[in-house]
Amino acid sequence: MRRIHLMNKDSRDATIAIDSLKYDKPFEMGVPEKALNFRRYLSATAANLNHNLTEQYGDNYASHLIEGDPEIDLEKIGQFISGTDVVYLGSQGEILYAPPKTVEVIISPNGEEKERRDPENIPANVDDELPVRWTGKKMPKASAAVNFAFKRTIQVRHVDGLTYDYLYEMAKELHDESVMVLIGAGQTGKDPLIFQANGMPYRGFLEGRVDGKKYQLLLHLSNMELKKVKAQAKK
Amino acid sequence: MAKPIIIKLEGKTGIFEHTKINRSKLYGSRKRIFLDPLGETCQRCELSDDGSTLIMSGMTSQGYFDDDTNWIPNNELVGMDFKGNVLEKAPATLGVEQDVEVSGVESLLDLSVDSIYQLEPEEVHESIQSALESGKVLNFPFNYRADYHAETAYLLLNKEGYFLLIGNPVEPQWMDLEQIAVESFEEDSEDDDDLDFEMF
Repeated sequence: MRRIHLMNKDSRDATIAIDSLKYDKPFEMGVPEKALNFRRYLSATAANLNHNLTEQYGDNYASHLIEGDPEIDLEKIGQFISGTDVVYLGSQGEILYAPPKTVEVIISPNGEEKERRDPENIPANVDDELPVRWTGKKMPKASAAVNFAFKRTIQVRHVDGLTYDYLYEMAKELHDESVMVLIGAGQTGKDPLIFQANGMPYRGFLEGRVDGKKYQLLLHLSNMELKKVKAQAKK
Repeated sequence: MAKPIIIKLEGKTGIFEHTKINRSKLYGSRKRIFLDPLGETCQRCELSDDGSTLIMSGMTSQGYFDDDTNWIPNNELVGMDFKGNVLEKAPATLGVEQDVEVSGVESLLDLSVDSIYQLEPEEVHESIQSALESGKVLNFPFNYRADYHAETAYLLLNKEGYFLLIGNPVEPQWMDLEQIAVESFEEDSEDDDDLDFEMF
Protein backbone atom coordinates (compact mmCIF):
# COMPACT_ATOMS: atom_id res chain seq x y z
CA MET A 1 0.00 0.00 0.00
CA ARG A 2 1.42 3.39 -0.98
CA ARG A 3 0.83 6.28 1.37
CA ILE A 4 0.64 10.03 1.44
CA HIS A 5 1.03 12.23 4.50
CA LEU A 6 -1.60 14.89 3.92
CA MET A 7 -2.54 18.01 5.86
CA ASN A 8 -5.96 19.60 5.49
CA LYS A 9 -6.88 23.29 5.58
CA ASP A 10 -7.15 23.21 9.39
CA SER A 11 -3.55 21.93 9.62
CA ARG A 12 -4.66 18.46 10.75
CA ASP A 13 -2.52 15.79 9.17
CA ALA A 14 -2.99 12.07 8.57
CA THR A 15 -1.26 9.33 6.64
CA ILE A 16 -3.61 7.68 4.19
CA ALA A 17 -3.52 5.27 1.27
CA ILE A 18 -3.13 6.13 -2.41
CA ASP A 19 -3.53 4.12 -5.62
CA SER A 20 -2.77 5.07 -9.21
CA LEU A 21 -5.79 4.80 -11.48
CA LYS A 22 -4.76 2.74 -14.46
CA TYR A 23 -6.31 1.72 -17.70
CA ASP A 24 -6.10 -1.97 -18.61
CA LYS A 25 -5.50 -2.57 -22.29
CA PRO A 26 -8.52 -4.56 -23.56
CA PHE A 27 -6.64 -6.77 -26.03
CA GLU A 28 -3.40 -8.57 -26.68
CA MET A 29 -1.63 -9.48 -29.89
CA GLY A 30 -1.37 -13.15 -30.78
CA VAL A 31 -2.34 -15.99 -33.08
CA PRO A 32 -5.65 -17.78 -32.36
CA GLU A 33 -5.24 -21.01 -30.35
CA LYS A 34 -1.49 -20.69 -30.17
CA ALA A 35 0.50 -19.84 -27.07
CA LEU A 36 3.11 -17.18 -27.83
CA ASN A 37 5.97 -15.71 -25.88
CA PHE A 38 7.33 -12.22 -26.36
CA ARG A 39 11.12 -12.51 -26.36
CA ARG A 40 14.12 -10.29 -26.89
CA TYR A 41 16.84 -11.69 -29.12
CA LEU A 42 20.19 -10.82 -30.65
CA SER A 43 19.68 -9.43 -34.16
CA ALA A 44 23.25 -8.30 -34.89
CA THR A 45 26.73 -8.60 -33.46
CA ALA A 46 29.13 -5.69 -32.95
CA ALA A 47 31.07 -6.65 -36.09
CA ASN A 48 27.84 -6.70 -38.15
CA LEU A 49 26.57 -3.27 -37.13
CA ASN A 50 26.08 -0.77 -39.94
CA HIS A 51 28.98 1.55 -39.09
CA ASN A 52 31.48 -1.34 -38.94
CA LEU A 53 30.29 -2.79 -42.24
CA THR A 54 30.41 0.65 -43.86
CA GLU A 55 34.01 0.99 -42.75
CA GLN A 56 34.87 -2.48 -43.95
CA TYR A 57 33.24 -2.41 -47.39
CA GLY A 58 33.19 1.29 -48.24
CA ASP A 59 31.59 1.95 -51.62
CA ASN A 60 30.88 -1.73 -52.26
CA TYR A 61 28.74 -2.04 -49.14
CA ALA A 62 25.42 -2.49 -50.97
CA SER A 63 26.64 -5.21 -53.30
CA HIS A 64 28.23 -7.11 -50.38
CA LEU A 65 24.91 -6.98 -48.52
CA ILE A 66 23.13 -8.53 -51.49
CA GLU A 67 25.71 -11.14 -52.36
CA GLY A 68 27.18 -12.27 -49.07
CA ASP A 69 24.82 -11.32 -46.20
CA PRO A 70 27.75 -10.00 -44.12
CA GLU A 71 25.27 -8.40 -41.69
CA ILE A 72 24.23 -11.83 -40.42
CA ASP A 73 26.34 -13.89 -38.04
CA LEU A 74 24.67 -17.31 -38.19
CA GLU A 75 26.34 -18.49 -34.99
CA LYS A 76 24.96 -15.67 -32.88
CA ILE A 77 21.82 -14.19 -34.45
CA GLY A 78 18.56 -15.29 -32.89
CA GLN A 79 20.07 -16.07 -29.49
CA PHE A 80 17.49 -15.21 -26.82
CA ILE A 81 18.52 -12.62 -24.26
CA SER A 82 17.28 -12.96 -20.71
CA GLY A 83 19.09 -11.19 -17.89
CA THR A 84 21.74 -8.58 -18.56
CA ASP A 85 23.95 -6.25 -16.56
CA VAL A 86 24.62 -2.66 -17.54
CA VAL A 87 28.22 -1.89 -18.46
CA TYR A 88 29.78 1.30 -19.78
CA LEU A 89 32.35 1.57 -22.53
CA GLY A 90 34.82 4.46 -22.47
CA SER A 91 35.49 6.65 -25.50
CA GLN A 92 38.21 4.21 -26.68
CA GLY A 93 35.76 1.29 -26.56
CA GLU A 94 37.19 -0.16 -23.33
CA ILE A 95 34.95 -1.54 -20.55
CA LEU A 96 34.96 0.70 -17.47
CA TYR A 97 35.57 -1.16 -14.22
CA ALA A 98 34.81 1.90 -12.05
CA PRO A 99 31.60 3.95 -12.12
CA PRO A 100 31.68 6.74 -14.73
CA LYS A 101 31.22 10.38 -13.73
CA THR A 102 27.59 11.40 -13.96
CA VAL A 103 26.65 14.82 -15.33
CA GLU A 104 23.20 16.32 -15.68
CA VAL A 105 22.58 18.11 -18.98
CA ILE A 106 19.86 20.74 -19.29
CA ILE A 107 18.36 20.97 -22.76
CA SER A 108 16.30 23.94 -23.96
CA PRO A 109 12.95 23.48 -25.78
CA ASN A 110 14.68 23.90 -29.15
CA GLY A 111 17.04 21.04 -28.39
CA GLU A 112 20.15 23.10 -27.54
CA GLU A 113 22.29 22.16 -24.57
CA LYS A 114 22.01 24.99 -22.04
CA GLU A 115 23.95 23.82 -19.05
CA ARG A 116 25.89 20.97 -17.48
CA ARG A 117 25.89 20.44 -13.75
CA ASP A 118 26.47 17.86 -11.07
CA PRO A 119 23.32 15.81 -10.54
CA GLU A 120 21.41 16.07 -7.31
CA ASN A 121 19.62 13.15 -5.74
CA ILE A 122 16.09 14.26 -5.00
CA PRO A 123 14.21 12.27 -2.35
CA ALA A 124 10.51 11.44 -2.50
CA ASN A 125 8.41 13.86 -0.44
CA VAL A 126 4.81 12.62 -0.26
CA ASP A 127 5.18 10.19 2.65
CA ASP A 128 7.64 12.29 4.55
CA GLU A 129 7.86 13.74 8.03
CA LEU A 130 6.56 17.01 6.56
CA PRO A 131 3.03 16.54 5.26
CA VAL A 132 1.85 17.50 1.82
CA ARG A 133 -0.16 20.65 2.40
CA TRP A 134 -3.52 21.94 1.25
CA THR A 135 -2.33 25.34 -0.07
CA GLY A 136 -5.71 27.04 -0.18
CA LYS A 137 -5.17 27.92 -3.85
CA LYS A 138 -8.44 26.82 -5.35
CA MET A 139 -9.30 26.82 -9.02
CA PRO A 140 -12.65 26.10 -10.66
CA LYS A 141 -12.66 22.51 -11.89
CA ALA A 142 -13.61 23.63 -15.40
CA SER A 143 -10.65 26.00 -15.56
CA ALA A 144 -8.06 23.53 -14.22
CA ALA A 145 -9.23 20.81 -16.62
CA VAL A 146 -8.61 22.93 -19.73
CA ASN A 147 -5.39 24.62 -18.61
CA PHE A 148 -3.32 21.68 -17.37
CA ALA A 149 -2.48 18.30 -18.86
CA PHE A 150 -3.13 15.77 -16.11
CA LYS A 151 -0.96 12.81 -16.96
CA ARG A 152 -1.81 10.72 -13.94
CA THR A 153 -4.58 10.44 -11.38
CA ILE A 154 -4.19 8.99 -7.93
CA GLN A 155 -7.14 7.97 -5.79
CA VAL A 156 -6.83 8.84 -2.11
CA ARG A 157 -8.37 6.24 0.25
CA HIS A 158 -9.09 6.12 3.98
CA VAL A 159 -7.37 3.58 6.23
CA ASP A 160 -9.81 3.67 9.16
CA GLY A 161 -13.02 5.32 10.34
CA LEU A 162 -11.34 8.54 11.42
CA THR A 163 -9.60 9.05 8.09
CA TYR A 164 -12.91 8.30 6.32
CA ASP A 165 -14.41 11.37 8.03
CA TYR A 166 -11.25 13.37 7.30
CA LEU A 167 -11.25 12.59 3.56
CA TYR A 168 -15.03 12.74 3.16
CA GLU A 169 -15.03 16.30 4.51
CA MET A 170 -12.29 17.35 2.08
CA ALA A 171 -14.09 15.75 -0.85
CA LYS A 172 -17.39 17.36 0.13
CA GLU A 173 -15.92 20.85 0.40
CA LEU A 174 -14.29 20.57 -3.03
CA HIS A 175 -17.42 18.99 -4.53
CA ASP A 176 -19.75 21.65 -3.13
CA GLU A 177 -17.53 24.48 -4.40
CA SER A 178 -16.81 22.66 -7.71
CA VAL A 179 -13.12 23.50 -7.36
CA MET A 180 -9.78 21.77 -7.25
CA VAL A 181 -7.18 22.75 -4.67
CA LEU A 182 -3.45 22.82 -5.28
CA ILE A 183 -1.48 20.75 -2.81
CA GLY A 184 2.27 20.98 -2.37
CA ALA A 185 5.16 19.54 -0.40
CA GLY A 186 7.83 21.05 1.80
CA GLN A 187 7.72 23.48 4.72
CA THR A 188 5.46 25.96 2.94
CA GLY A 189 3.66 23.64 0.54
CA LYS A 190 5.26 25.25 -2.49
CA ASP A 191 7.33 22.29 -3.65
CA PRO A 192 6.11 19.90 -6.33
CA LEU A 193 5.17 16.34 -5.37
CA ILE A 194 7.79 13.64 -5.90
CA PHE A 195 6.49 10.12 -5.40
CA GLN A 196 9.78 8.28 -5.73
CA ALA A 197 13.45 9.18 -5.28
CA ASN A 198 14.61 11.06 -8.41
CA GLY A 199 11.10 10.68 -9.81
CA MET A 200 9.26 13.19 -11.96
CA PRO A 201 8.07 16.26 -10.01
CA TYR A 202 4.36 17.00 -10.40
CA ARG A 203 1.93 19.70 -9.36
CA GLY A 204 -0.92 18.05 -7.47
CA PHE A 205 -4.56 19.16 -7.72
CA LEU A 206 -7.07 17.57 -5.39
CA GLU A 207 -10.60 17.01 -6.70
CA GLY A 208 -13.53 15.81 -4.61
CA ARG A 209 -16.76 14.07 -5.59
CA VAL A 210 -19.52 13.07 -3.21
CA ASP A 211 -22.57 10.84 -3.64
CA GLY A 212 -24.50 10.50 -0.38
CA LYS A 213 -22.06 9.02 2.10
CA LYS A 214 -19.65 7.89 -0.61
CA TYR A 215 -16.74 9.98 -1.83
CA GLN A 216 -14.01 10.07 -4.42
CA LEU A 217 -10.93 12.12 -3.57
CA LEU A 218 -8.71 12.27 -6.62
CA LEU A 219 -5.22 13.72 -6.84
CA HIS A 220 -4.61 14.81 -10.43
CA LEU A 221 -0.94 15.21 -11.33
CA SER A 222 0.37 17.58 -13.94
CA ASN A 223 3.83 18.56 -15.12
CA MET A 224 2.67 20.57 -18.10
CA GLU A 225 0.36 23.46 -18.82
CA LEU A 226 -1.71 23.39 -22.00
CA LYS A 227 0.22 26.07 -23.86
CA LYS A 228 1.11 26.40 -27.50
CA VAL A 229 4.61 25.36 -28.46
CA LYS A 230 6.21 27.97 -30.67
CA ALA A 231 7.82 26.54 -33.81
CA GLN A 232 11.58 26.61 -33.30
CA ALA A 233 14.35 25.49 -35.57
CA LYS A 234 16.26 22.65 -33.93
CA LYS A 235 20.00 23.14 -34.03
CA MET B 1 1.54 16.25 -44.01
CA ALA B 2 -0.76 14.18 -41.78
CA LYS B 3 -4.47 14.14 -42.57
CA PRO B 4 -6.53 16.62 -40.55
CA ILE B 5 -8.82 15.91 -37.62
CA ILE B 6 -12.42 16.38 -38.76
CA ILE B 7 -15.29 16.53 -36.30
CA LYS B 8 -19.03 16.90 -36.66
CA LEU B 9 -21.33 18.29 -33.99
CA GLU B 10 -25.06 18.28 -34.83
CA GLY B 11 -24.26 18.39 -38.54
CA LYS B 12 -21.70 21.21 -38.25
CA THR B 13 -18.06 20.62 -39.05
CA GLY B 14 -14.71 21.51 -37.57
CA ILE B 15 -11.39 20.79 -39.31
CA PHE B 16 -8.03 21.02 -37.53
CA GLU B 17 -4.35 20.52 -38.33
CA HIS B 18 -2.53 18.87 -35.44
CA THR B 19 0.97 18.87 -33.93
CA LYS B 20 2.02 16.57 -31.11
CA ILE B 21 3.45 18.39 -28.12
CA ASN B 22 5.09 17.29 -24.89
CA ARG B 23 6.74 18.70 -21.85
CA SER B 24 10.24 18.89 -23.33
CA LYS B 25 9.01 20.91 -26.32
CA LEU B 26 7.45 23.42 -23.92
CA TYR B 27 9.96 23.65 -21.08
CA GLY B 28 13.03 21.75 -22.24
CA SER B 29 14.33 18.65 -20.55
CA ARG B 30 17.23 17.24 -18.59
CA LYS B 31 19.12 14.04 -18.92
CA ARG B 32 22.02 12.36 -17.23
CA ILE B 33 25.08 11.41 -19.21
CA PHE B 34 28.10 9.39 -18.13
CA LEU B 35 31.71 10.45 -18.73
CA ASP B 36 34.86 8.33 -18.82
CA PRO B 37 38.12 9.38 -17.09
CA LEU B 38 39.01 11.47 -20.20
CA GLY B 39 35.77 13.43 -19.84
CA GLU B 40 34.30 11.87 -22.98
CA THR B 41 30.79 10.44 -23.17
CA CYS B 42 30.53 6.74 -22.33
CA GLN B 43 28.53 4.25 -24.32
CA ARG B 44 25.92 2.38 -22.31
CA CYS B 45 25.87 -1.34 -23.14
CA GLU B 46 24.66 -4.59 -21.64
CA LEU B 47 26.54 -7.76 -20.82
CA SER B 48 24.54 -10.98 -21.21
CA ASP B 49 24.09 -12.86 -17.94
CA ASP B 50 26.47 -15.63 -19.04
CA GLY B 51 29.09 -12.94 -19.72
CA SER B 52 29.59 -14.06 -23.31
CA THR B 53 28.03 -11.21 -25.29
CA LEU B 54 28.47 -7.47 -25.07
CA ILE B 55 25.24 -5.98 -26.36
CA MET B 56 25.41 -2.50 -27.86
CA SER B 57 22.61 -0.27 -29.09
CA GLY B 58 21.08 -1.69 -32.31
CA MET B 59 22.07 -5.29 -31.61
CA THR B 60 18.72 -6.58 -30.33
CA SER B 61 15.16 -6.95 -31.52
CA GLN B 62 12.07 -8.40 -29.93
CA GLY B 63 9.18 -10.41 -31.23
CA TYR B 64 6.68 -13.18 -30.67
CA PHE B 65 7.76 -16.85 -30.69
CA ASP B 66 5.72 -20.03 -30.40
CA ASP B 67 6.55 -22.90 -28.03
CA ASP B 68 8.88 -24.41 -30.66
CA THR B 69 10.74 -21.07 -30.77
CA ASN B 70 9.53 -20.27 -34.28
CA TRP B 71 9.40 -16.54 -34.88
CA ILE B 72 5.90 -15.28 -35.72
CA PRO B 73 6.00 -12.44 -38.28
CA ASN B 74 4.09 -9.31 -37.28
CA ASN B 75 1.69 -9.64 -40.21
CA GLU B 76 0.42 -12.95 -38.77
CA LEU B 77 -0.46 -11.39 -35.44
CA VAL B 78 -4.03 -10.31 -34.70
CA GLY B 79 -5.66 -8.53 -31.78
CA MET B 80 -7.55 -10.83 -29.40
CA ASP B 81 -9.62 -10.21 -26.30
CA PHE B 82 -8.73 -12.05 -23.11
CA LYS B 83 -11.10 -14.92 -24.00
CA GLY B 84 -9.09 -15.50 -27.19
CA ASN B 85 -11.69 -14.03 -29.57
CA VAL B 86 -10.24 -12.28 -32.61
CA LEU B 87 -11.10 -8.58 -32.68
CA GLU B 88 -11.91 -6.45 -35.68
CA LYS B 89 -9.53 -3.62 -36.49
CA ALA B 90 -10.76 -0.14 -35.64
CA PRO B 91 -10.12 2.11 -38.67
CA ALA B 92 -7.88 5.18 -38.55
CA THR B 93 -9.85 8.33 -37.78
CA LEU B 94 -7.57 11.01 -39.28
CA GLY B 95 -9.16 12.63 -42.31
CA VAL B 96 -12.48 10.92 -41.51
CA GLU B 97 -15.38 12.89 -40.06
CA GLN B 98 -16.04 11.86 -36.44
CA ASP B 99 -19.28 12.48 -34.58
CA VAL B 100 -18.52 14.22 -31.30
CA GLU B 101 -20.33 14.25 -27.97
CA VAL B 102 -20.45 17.24 -25.68
CA SER B 103 -19.20 16.35 -22.20
CA GLY B 104 -18.48 17.98 -18.89
CA VAL B 105 -14.96 18.33 -17.54
CA GLU B 106 -15.34 15.45 -15.06
CA SER B 107 -15.11 12.88 -17.84
CA LEU B 108 -12.01 14.68 -19.16
CA LEU B 109 -10.50 14.46 -15.66
CA ASP B 110 -11.11 10.70 -15.76
CA LEU B 111 -8.94 10.35 -18.86
CA SER B 112 -5.55 8.69 -18.53
CA VAL B 113 -3.72 10.94 -21.00
CA ASP B 114 -1.20 9.34 -23.36
CA SER B 115 -0.61 12.13 -25.87
CA ILE B 116 -1.38 15.78 -26.43
CA TYR B 117 -1.81 17.70 -29.67
CA GLN B 118 -2.05 21.42 -30.27
CA LEU B 119 -4.53 22.18 -33.04
CA GLU B 120 -4.68 24.85 -35.71
CA PRO B 121 -8.25 25.42 -36.88
CA GLU B 122 -8.80 25.34 -40.64
CA GLU B 123 -12.55 25.67 -40.37
CA VAL B 124 -14.67 25.70 -37.22
CA HIS B 125 -18.42 26.25 -37.23
CA GLU B 126 -19.71 28.86 -34.77
CA SER B 127 -21.77 26.29 -32.85
CA ILE B 128 -18.63 24.22 -32.14
CA GLN B 129 -16.72 27.35 -31.17
CA SER B 130 -19.43 28.50 -28.77
CA ALA B 131 -19.77 25.04 -27.16
CA LEU B 132 -16.04 25.08 -26.47
CA GLU B 133 -16.05 28.70 -25.29
CA SER B 134 -18.78 27.84 -22.79
CA GLY B 135 -16.30 25.50 -21.07
CA LYS B 136 -17.64 22.26 -22.55
CA VAL B 137 -15.30 19.68 -24.02
CA LEU B 138 -15.98 17.47 -27.02
CA ASN B 139 -15.10 13.80 -27.10
CA PHE B 140 -14.82 11.37 -29.96
CA PRO B 141 -12.92 8.18 -30.91
CA PHE B 142 -9.35 8.68 -32.10
CA ASN B 143 -7.10 6.24 -33.90
CA TYR B 144 -3.94 7.58 -35.51
CA ARG B 145 -3.66 4.40 -37.57
CA ALA B 146 -5.91 1.34 -37.90
CA ASP B 147 -5.42 -1.04 -34.97
CA TYR B 148 -7.40 -3.05 -32.48
CA HIS B 149 -8.41 -0.29 -30.12
CA ALA B 150 -9.53 3.29 -30.70
CA GLU B 151 -8.58 5.70 -27.94
CA THR B 152 -10.71 8.56 -26.65
CA ALA B 153 -9.99 12.15 -27.67
CA TYR B 154 -11.12 15.29 -25.84
CA LEU B 155 -11.08 18.57 -27.73
CA LEU B 156 -10.92 21.70 -25.60
CA LEU B 157 -10.31 25.40 -25.96
CA ASN B 158 -8.45 27.68 -23.56
CA LYS B 159 -6.98 31.15 -23.95
CA GLU B 160 -3.93 29.69 -25.73
CA GLY B 161 -5.99 27.89 -28.36
CA TYR B 162 -7.34 24.45 -29.22
CA PHE B 163 -5.87 21.27 -27.72
CA LEU B 164 -6.62 17.60 -28.08
CA LEU B 165 -5.94 15.16 -25.23
CA ILE B 166 -5.79 11.50 -26.24
CA GLY B 167 -5.99 8.60 -23.84
CA ASN B 168 -8.21 6.03 -22.21
CA PRO B 169 -10.83 6.50 -19.50
CA VAL B 170 -10.17 5.27 -15.98
CA GLU B 171 -12.81 4.58 -13.35
CA PRO B 172 -12.30 5.89 -9.83
CA GLN B 173 -13.98 3.84 -7.13
CA TRP B 174 -16.66 5.26 -4.87
CA MET B 175 -15.42 4.93 -1.29
CA ASP B 176 -17.70 4.34 1.67
CA LEU B 177 -16.90 3.80 5.35
CA GLU B 178 -16.61 0.01 5.00
CA GLN B 179 -14.04 0.15 2.17
CA ILE B 180 -10.92 0.54 4.24
CA ALA B 181 -7.65 0.32 2.33
CA VAL B 182 -5.70 -2.70 3.59
CA GLU B 183 -2.01 -3.42 3.63
CA SER B 184 -0.89 -5.54 0.70
CA PHE B 185 2.38 -7.40 1.03
CA GLU B 186 2.64 -8.10 -2.67
CA GLU B 187 5.44 -6.43 -4.56
CA ASP B 188 4.17 -3.00 -5.54
CA SER B 189 5.17 -2.52 -9.16
CA GLU B 190 3.04 0.45 -9.96
CA ASP B 191 5.77 2.95 -9.21
CA ASP B 192 7.55 1.96 -12.38
CA ASP B 193 6.18 4.80 -14.43
CA ASP B 194 7.16 7.29 -11.74
CA LEU B 195 10.77 6.84 -12.60
CA ASP B 196 12.27 9.51 -14.70
CA PHE B 197 14.85 7.31 -16.38
CA GLU B 198 16.55 10.33 -17.92
CA MET B 199 17.70 11.13 -14.41
CA PHE B 200 19.80 8.00 -13.87
